[in-house]
Amino acid sequence: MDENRERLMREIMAADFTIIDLNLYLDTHPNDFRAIMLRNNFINRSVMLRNEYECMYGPINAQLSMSKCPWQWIKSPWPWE
Amino acid sequence: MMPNIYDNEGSIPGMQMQAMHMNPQCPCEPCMPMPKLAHAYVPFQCMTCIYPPLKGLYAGTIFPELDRPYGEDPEYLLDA
Repeated sequence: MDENRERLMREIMAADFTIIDLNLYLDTHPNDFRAIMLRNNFINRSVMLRNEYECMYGPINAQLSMSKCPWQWIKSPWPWE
Repeated sequence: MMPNIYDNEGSIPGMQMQAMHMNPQCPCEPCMPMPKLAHAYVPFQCMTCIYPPLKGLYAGTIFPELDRPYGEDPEYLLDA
């Protein structure tokens, strides 16, 4: 796999994991302002990284990614390849 | 963007406990009130710092105080 593509995908997964873990923390600490700010920052970061990835390597997700014509989702390689 | 919150070094469990009590952001001061006999307690987590994203992904948690891989902490093994 393209080295940059792999690095980007790993960073997206890491940012998304951080968001999930902060979600869980906030379920029991709903007034933790710092955790909410951190989560907001990581959501921005995830969106930014996804845009960067999709501009260069195509859609990550068949449901939520914009496509140009022809339909990009079936174009190889898949995000997990 | 938020460099000060990261804990890049592995920390010592005892030190974390101390840091938790000294955390000025902690809403529950002290974190562990005077325990009563015959009551079971779970200390309330107070976020101090978090791992950088990639380290968190590999550790399975972004919270250093919850990063306790099975088998590495002898106290954890006692519960098994």
